[in-house]
Amino acid sequence: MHFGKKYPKRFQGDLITVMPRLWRFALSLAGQKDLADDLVQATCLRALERESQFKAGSNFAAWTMTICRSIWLNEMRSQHLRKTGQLDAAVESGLIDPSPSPETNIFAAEVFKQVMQLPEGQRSVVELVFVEQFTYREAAAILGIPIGTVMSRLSAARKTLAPLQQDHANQMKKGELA
Amino acid sequence: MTYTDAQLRSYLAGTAEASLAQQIEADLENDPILEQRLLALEGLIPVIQHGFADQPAPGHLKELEEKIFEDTASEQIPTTPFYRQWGARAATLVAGLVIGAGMMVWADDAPDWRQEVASYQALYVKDTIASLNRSEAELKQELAIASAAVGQQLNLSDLTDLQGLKLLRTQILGHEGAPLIQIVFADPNGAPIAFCILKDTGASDTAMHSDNLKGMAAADWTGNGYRYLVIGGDNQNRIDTVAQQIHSHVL
Repeated sequence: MHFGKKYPKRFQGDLITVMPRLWRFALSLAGQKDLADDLVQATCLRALERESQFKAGSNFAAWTMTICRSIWLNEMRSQHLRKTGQLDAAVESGLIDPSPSPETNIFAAEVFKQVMQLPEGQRSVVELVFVEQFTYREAAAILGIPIGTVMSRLSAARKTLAPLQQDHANQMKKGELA
Repeated sequence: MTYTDAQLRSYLAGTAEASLAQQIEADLENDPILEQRLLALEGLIPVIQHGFADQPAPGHLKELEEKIFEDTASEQIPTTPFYRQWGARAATLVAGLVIGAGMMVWADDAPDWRQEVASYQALYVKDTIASLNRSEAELKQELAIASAAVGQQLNLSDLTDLQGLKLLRTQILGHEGAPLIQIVFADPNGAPIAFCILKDTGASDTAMHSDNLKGMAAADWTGNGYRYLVIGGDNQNRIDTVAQQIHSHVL
């Protein structure tokens, strides 16, 4: 398909700009990098098809992520479940780069791994609020859940991830993260 | 209801009494300022951002982009989002009408984003920022994430040595769908000062302008599709000087 001849380039530019954020969100839903790739591709194609439905002045990243969530829940999640019989246990081999660059920080990798081991609902909220810095209300709208559920999922995630905060503080004291 | 930082920290730590936690969550549903206060105290945010700093890996999305956009991937992509351009056209029309009527220039962005930022900044006290203690690596990382969000390169070196201000934190907020970057400093007395950037490709360039917003010294200007504001405290000379220094670096 050759979307470049059919769709405005500015819209494509906006999609490319938002793609790293979209990919991280897709990863938080799918739990595996190859699935996140597929999900981002499907989301971008759907967004291109629905370009006329985007409301000027609204949040473009949130709009694409809402499409992404919809595709994941309605189309890809069940297929993946049928194939693998599992959902929440993010497949480690799909997450860890086998040849990390020299700059790869061991602690960062541990943080990433622990977030990805959260249940899907918690990691998507953590990703949206802590990484992408959406408000609770925006995160709730993207995920199609009540704002109270965003807060309860964050509370649950905090309990699991709390030791990381202490590890981080300890490493800061030692200067290992400087 | 007004909460102390200690109460909010106990909520975050999961040690607050159930009644307090329920009250905080009920208020959070309708109080974005409380949410911002809570997130400002959220110690996990820099940790989690550190974990995601290399995600996606550099170059990982290139192949995906090419697969999606095929023959257009190598062509020049405009940097101005289309929805902001339409906003710009509407803003130009409104601004023309307003200027004709002899009214103020901010009418293209109602309500005035500066007043909204000032309302938020007015809630900051020394205690709000006292616990912020980012490492240089964390500050750089936050700036990199903010740079990507707003589309303007922000360098740590441009934000140091500013009249004795200490850089504490960078976070991404939003205003009417556009990214708004808030960079928080402490003045030599520990009082909060903020430098804010709002992407607005429709905004006409304006010279630096000193003002007093919500009782705080402020200086703002517009250039290259961005609105800028330095605000905090009551020392107008310091704010003006800081604004001029930042202006010389970022614009």
